[in-house]
Amino acid sequence: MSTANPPSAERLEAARDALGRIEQAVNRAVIGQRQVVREVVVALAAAGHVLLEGLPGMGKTLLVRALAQALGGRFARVQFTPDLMPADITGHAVFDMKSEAFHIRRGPIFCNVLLGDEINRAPAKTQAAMLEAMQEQQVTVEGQSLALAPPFVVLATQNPIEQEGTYPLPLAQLDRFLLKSYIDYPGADDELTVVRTVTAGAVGDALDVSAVERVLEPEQVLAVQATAAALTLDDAVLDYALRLVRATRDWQGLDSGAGTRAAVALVRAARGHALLAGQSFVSPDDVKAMAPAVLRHRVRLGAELEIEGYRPDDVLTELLAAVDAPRA
Amino acid sequence: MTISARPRSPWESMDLGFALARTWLGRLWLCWWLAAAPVALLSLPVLHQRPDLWLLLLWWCKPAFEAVTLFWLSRAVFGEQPGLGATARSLPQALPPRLWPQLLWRRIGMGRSFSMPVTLLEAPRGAARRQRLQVLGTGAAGWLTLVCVHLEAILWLSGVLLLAFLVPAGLPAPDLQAAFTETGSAPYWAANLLVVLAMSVVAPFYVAAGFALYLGRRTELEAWDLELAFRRRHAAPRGPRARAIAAAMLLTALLLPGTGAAAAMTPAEAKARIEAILAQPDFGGTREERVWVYVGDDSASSADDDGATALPAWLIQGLATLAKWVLVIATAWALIVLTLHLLREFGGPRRRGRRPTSTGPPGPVAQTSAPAEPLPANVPAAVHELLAARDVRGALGLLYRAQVAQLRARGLELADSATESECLRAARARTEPQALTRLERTVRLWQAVAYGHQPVDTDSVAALTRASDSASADDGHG
Repeated sequence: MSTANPPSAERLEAARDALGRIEQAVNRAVIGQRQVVREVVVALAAAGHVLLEGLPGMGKTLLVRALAQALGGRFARVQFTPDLMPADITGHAVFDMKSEAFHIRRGPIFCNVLLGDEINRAPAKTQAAMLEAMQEQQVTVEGQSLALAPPFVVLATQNPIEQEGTYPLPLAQLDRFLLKSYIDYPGADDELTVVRTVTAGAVGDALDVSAVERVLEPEQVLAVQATAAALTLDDAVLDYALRLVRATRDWQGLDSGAGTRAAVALVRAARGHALLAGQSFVSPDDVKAMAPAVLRHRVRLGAELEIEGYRPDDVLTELLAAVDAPRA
Repeated sequence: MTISARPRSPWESMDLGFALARTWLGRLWLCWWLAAAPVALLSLPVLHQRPDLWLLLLWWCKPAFEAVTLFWLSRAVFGEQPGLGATARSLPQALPPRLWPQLLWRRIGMGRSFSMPVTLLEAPRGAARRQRLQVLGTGAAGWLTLVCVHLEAILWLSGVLLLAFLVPAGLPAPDLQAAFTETGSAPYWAANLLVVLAMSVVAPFYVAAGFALYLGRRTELEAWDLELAFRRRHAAPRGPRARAIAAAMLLTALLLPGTGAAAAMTPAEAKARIEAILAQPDFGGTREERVWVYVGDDSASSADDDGATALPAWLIQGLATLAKWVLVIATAWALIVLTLHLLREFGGPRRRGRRPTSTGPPGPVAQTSAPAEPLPANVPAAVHELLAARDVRGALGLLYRAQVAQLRARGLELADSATESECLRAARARTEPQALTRLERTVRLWQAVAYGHQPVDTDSVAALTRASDSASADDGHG
């Protein structure tokens, strides 16, 4: 399988340059999380949503705000709480006494970059309100379908430790996220830089993203996404991606494997990764590099492995080492 | 004697033994350690790096440790309870040379608890011992051993788990797998010490129950209870009172009526009279009783009677032999499977792999993912042929695979799952610059053709093939 109109060298270079600038800009604000920043930029190129998991105070919100600042689009943040209602996100109809008619008041979801903070603190009904927006890029309010302005990216965060009073995301909801990224502790040097930078002349602990310059317009993001979608994809690479996804279904230690949407997501993410590397085609390296982030939230570990303290990444590492890469 | 001698069933005897062990548990336990502690401590300097052999030694010497316990118990039952010091001084007596066979060729035996009292207390030798054991029979000693082995295992596992569960949450969790597999590790030592502790706790019960079985069997066969009763009567106090009673009984007997008439009868008259008395209904007569007695299967007997339908003896014998060997082979197979399973579970790091499901291992979903064909004997010639046929992708693929195979031949570990960049990364560490440059160029061309669908000059591929060929030839000459 190949694309009918592969992107020209100029278009490819422009897209790679745009992604590189976004990555650089976000890395200026979020120090010591290069892998996560790269995955978020890949998701942006692939027009996908990201679930960020990490302990409090690791820079999740800062990352999303820096990305929104770099994109120049509209940014909105929703703090998920147990009493949050779907209408608080999507919007609702209000009666205008003057015109004696109902008007739609759009919720925060009408933006380009949405930060869903601690998404697992809201009940399933509220979480499900985002399904339509994430999958179909539209919202239905009072029976009226309203399209979301592209680009639309959801970056949701959740805390892996505090499970009390949370509602774990159902698999159907998790599947809508293109990637799941772990934000781990930064290295000692990076942490020193963070503390020094943040405390130098700062009052309070407000997030400072003023250092992040606006490098792209929303329209340019759409062009980048179109370029990524046009990269050449050979059948052997597609087959490799599929074999990786199918392997999760027959893998000992996994109760459930990834679905077909995972294969689609893996190819999309690989395209984004290839574009970020400046390639005009997708290689098995791109697929393999993105497989953990794409698959880790789409597989479910067996009880035995969970008790033994395994994480999905441990199993996926073994799986990646067992599936043959294309050779011819 | 501190116990009541009377005929008992084997189970009742074992119960008596357990009651004895409970009564003197502390003493019996110390007796066991009296013999075990020196062996355990003296062997430590030699076997401190092999706790498994140390444990095997202690396990193997169990009959010697139990002999001391039995020595003390055999005296305690008959009213003498030597102190620990006296027992220690009696060790040579408690561990006679005739114990050696118990530690050598008789070590593996299910009836040790029963045969030890015979061997150590009666001291018969050779054929006499065998005959004596045949007469006494081992009774339920085998079951006793089986029960006690299980008790030891349960105690041991309970101890291991108890220790593991009692470790506070903040401390590192104990490695249970190491406790069973990693010889020399601290958990392994702890588990071994718990085995010895379990052996020492169960041993008093084992020895006492075996001894009680022995006593019960002798009571049954040799009427020990009656003998002991007579001895007690014999040992009753004698004095004026006893003499007065005896005189009164004799006088009564002499004065009884009829004794004179008896003395007056001739033997023939007496015999006739006895026969007459015995013929009376109180002493004689016959009575017919009908009871149900199982005489076997009618069909079997009828089949035996019917010679025409009976199977020939050689066929029955053959079938029986066949069935026996089938059973033996099936048992051996089951044991091998069980052993392999246990080795997989506990014998090393946990292995995971493809789940053996009906869907089979993850396989290719398209023809392109089929396993690559083996490399041709003459790779350059095959590459040139493919180039001549304008199959640039095939030629570059072959060249790439051949170079990966060369890297593997030089000892580089490259899995089949390694992608192009992983192969390059691995090669950078251990490949000379020229070969690395060739590999990088091959990979670049291969990716451009295979994944990028970009046109590539066949001359550059041919030149690359020639360079690889000459390098291989140099390697071969070198």
